[in-house]
Amino acid sequence: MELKAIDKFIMAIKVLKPNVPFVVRGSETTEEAFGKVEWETGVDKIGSAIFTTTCPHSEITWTKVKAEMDKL
Amino acid sequence: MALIKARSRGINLADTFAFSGTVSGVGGGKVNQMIFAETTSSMTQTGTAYADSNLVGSITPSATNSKIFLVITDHVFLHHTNSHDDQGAGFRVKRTIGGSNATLYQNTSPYQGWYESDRNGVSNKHYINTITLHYVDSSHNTTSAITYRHQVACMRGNDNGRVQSANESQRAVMTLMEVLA
Repeated sequence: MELKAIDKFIMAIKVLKPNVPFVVRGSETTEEAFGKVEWETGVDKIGSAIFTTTCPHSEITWTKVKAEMDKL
Repeated sequence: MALIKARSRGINLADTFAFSGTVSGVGGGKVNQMIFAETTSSMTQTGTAYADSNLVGSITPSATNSKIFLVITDHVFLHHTNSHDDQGAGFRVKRTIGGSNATLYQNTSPYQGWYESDRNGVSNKHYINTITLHYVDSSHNTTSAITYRHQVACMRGNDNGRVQSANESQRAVMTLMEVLA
């Protein structure tokens, strides 16, 4: 099965930081979509993930994600 | 002797009766309302904690002792990488009343909802399946609005491991029915 854009988007993030937990909603792979990625920062009292859309990982930027996507 | 004001043979059953008080002993088991919710907006989780999918439904019970029958069907994608021999996903229902969250049905571990094992070492395997959850909520004890949300968790987020709800914009659906006591 050929890789879809969203597959490349997620794989690119994982290349930059393996095992990083995050949530992506929808199938857009633009810079705007990157700004909406939900980065897990912890869990609440019932075990639901807590997120921030401000990327806390300095090694993950849209420029780097785009570059990795282009390699796939 | 108590005065019997009316008997069944004295009532015209073709008439319309508008009760302003409380009628007891009738209506048990009646489906008072039904809510249908759906989404085609996918959600991808790469972590092992439960996260909200985009499938959410809300209902406002008419009575605190009614039961809410809930059915969820989701079109789920699972990506199995070559770093491990297995992959899986967990599913659960989160209930919110007035900002307070509680977990209803839940897979204890994030592989008990769906599990795939492959020891052939083939990398990047994809699986697609339809999962269904049923639940009867008899503990809500409210006549305020209740929100139910389908949550998913990924067993292994290593490499490119992930689970996706409403995969490829296929419908994920939820039906809520209030059943009166």
